[in-house]
Amino acid sequence: MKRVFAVALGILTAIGGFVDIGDIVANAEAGARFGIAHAWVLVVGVVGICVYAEMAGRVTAVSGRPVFDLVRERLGPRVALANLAGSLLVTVLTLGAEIGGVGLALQLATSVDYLLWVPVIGFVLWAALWRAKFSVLENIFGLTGLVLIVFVIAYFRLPADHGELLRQATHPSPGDGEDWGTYWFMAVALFASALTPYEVFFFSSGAVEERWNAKDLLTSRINVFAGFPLGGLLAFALMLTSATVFHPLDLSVDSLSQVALPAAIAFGKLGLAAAILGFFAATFGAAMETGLSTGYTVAQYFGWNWGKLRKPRDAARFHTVVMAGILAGIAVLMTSIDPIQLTEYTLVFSAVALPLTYLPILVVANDRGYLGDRVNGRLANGLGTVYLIVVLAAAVAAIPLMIITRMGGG
Amino acid sequence: MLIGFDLLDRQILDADGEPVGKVDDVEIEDGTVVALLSGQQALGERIGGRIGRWIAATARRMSEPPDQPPARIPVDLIAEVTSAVTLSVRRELLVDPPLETWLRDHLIARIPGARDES
Amino acid sequence: MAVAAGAVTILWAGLAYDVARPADYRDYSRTMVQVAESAHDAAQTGRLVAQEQLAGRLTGLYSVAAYDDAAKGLAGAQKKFAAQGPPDKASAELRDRLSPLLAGTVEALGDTAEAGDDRTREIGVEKLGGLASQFQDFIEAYG
Repeated sequence: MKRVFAVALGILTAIGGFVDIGDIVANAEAGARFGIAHAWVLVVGVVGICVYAEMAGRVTAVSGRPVFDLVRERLGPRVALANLAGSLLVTVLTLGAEIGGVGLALQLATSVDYLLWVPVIGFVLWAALWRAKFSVLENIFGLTGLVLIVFVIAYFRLPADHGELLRQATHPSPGDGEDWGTYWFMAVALFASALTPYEVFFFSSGAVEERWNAKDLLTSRINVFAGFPLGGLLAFALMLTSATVFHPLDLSVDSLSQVALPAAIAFGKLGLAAAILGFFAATFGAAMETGLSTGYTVAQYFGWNWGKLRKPRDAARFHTVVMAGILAGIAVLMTSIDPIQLTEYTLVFSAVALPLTYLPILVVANDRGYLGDRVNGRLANGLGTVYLIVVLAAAVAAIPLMIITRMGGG
Repeated sequence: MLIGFDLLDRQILDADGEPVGKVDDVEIEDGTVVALLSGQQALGERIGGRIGRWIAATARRMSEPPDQPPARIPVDLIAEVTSAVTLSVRRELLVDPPLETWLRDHLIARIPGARDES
Repeated sequence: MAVAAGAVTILWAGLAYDVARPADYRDYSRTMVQVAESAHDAAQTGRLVAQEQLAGRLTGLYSVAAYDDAAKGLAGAQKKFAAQGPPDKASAELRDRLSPLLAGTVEALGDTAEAGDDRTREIGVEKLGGLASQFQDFIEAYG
């Protein structure tokens, strides 16, 4: 019974944990501008994160080592250092965007400007990572993030042109007043939001913190294959409600207040409150994950002590890196860059950095030295290779598309 | 028979499974590995180039007293080599990594709650 | 190395030329359409927020934040509008068409955001809705 409960909890937190500021922004923007003509990208993205998270979970459960730890052995210290630099930059930018997202959610609840919240959030975030128990944090924010289900239910309450939505989903194209460049730019951003690199670092490091072993393989797989797709459903609901409310008005979304509006239209104040709470939990949870991920990646490259299982004084370098990461994220926001814009840039850089994360996973998951007979089967390798090609294509296309479309501005 | 190439960049754990560092380099005598070298100094020297030199120089300066040679772990302390290198001793018997010590003494241990389990 | 440096220099010079060359009607109308799009989004958002406020579906604090966001978007559009002068007569015509619409939106959005009663909000919904459709016409005519 306890086992069933643990698995259920894992799934629920995976659902809530899938959505972060990148998903919120990318899905709402895509929905408003293109309807649900990008629905297929979400499907592709969710399958991709499932394939690779399963590999990462398996590597960690069998070898007892997080993925990033093994990367250096396979790539050598130089390439792995370059990889570390790239991943760290993206993770810190993502951390900044998540903190900004928490600030925006608090602004919606209090109407106090988000910038005034940023230092407060930074401190609370640090305190949480310093003191609180890992599993408690994960469960609280994962479960609270589930209130984003309000967007799923909202869709059924909103007056929607179902035929038109079906047409958009089955005939993917830019539609009136938009071009293919922006369409693909948005597709790359959505893909990157589903496969954000920190999710894998965090997933495999978290598995070590929870002391998974080969017996936990099933738990890992259930979490991945139930949690991520259902999380993707929440992301899709954001796209869907945005497509229902904003697309017919030709209204593009560029603020978090707009993203919450469909929930308010469907359910009034209660729906609005649920949406804001959901944004808060999702972004704060993601801020914790990215904050820890900065420490994980650096400590695992150098072989330092890391993790929340240890007392902070026994992992001084790890906690220093986490602290520095949070400060750097705050510093980015303090340039007064709009958090939504920061999120957009972060997604582009994530897309560029995706191969850095996913290629090593595929290599390690095929290594009999670590995995014995639990190496990738034909299906995992087939899908893994296909996705590696997609990931490379997205990485190569991201910057040119950003320049041609002027950040999707047309 | 241990081959240096297989050991390089592997995680080193002590007898309790606590991380000690990575195999940042190995010391070879007459074609066999006699010791593992660990720490940013050894790593920097192995990486080479400007970045490598910078990493090594910073690590050298951090060591207490300065300009210590990198931490050296003789191979007879190795108990087992799997996805990590496990030692037969506890890490208290090894040289403390200088950066860890410095950050602990000057920053982390001074913050309330540093000694508590979370 | 030299080839890469050369390529970067040429690209950069091209970019500099593109930025420095005097704007013509095409550039100007493109900018004006972007201004109209942003202003349209601000007006439309303001209208939606006021409408939901009237229906009692929004909290007061959220409405303040939502109007702020719309106003910020509008300020961005105004900045873009003012940043460039019309290079010719046809461009000046565009500007003259857009200018009163922008001014009207600033006024309507501000009044609606600060409205203390439902009557003012109702007027705001109407005005902002009208302005949004005028922006829409502008975008369709010149976009």
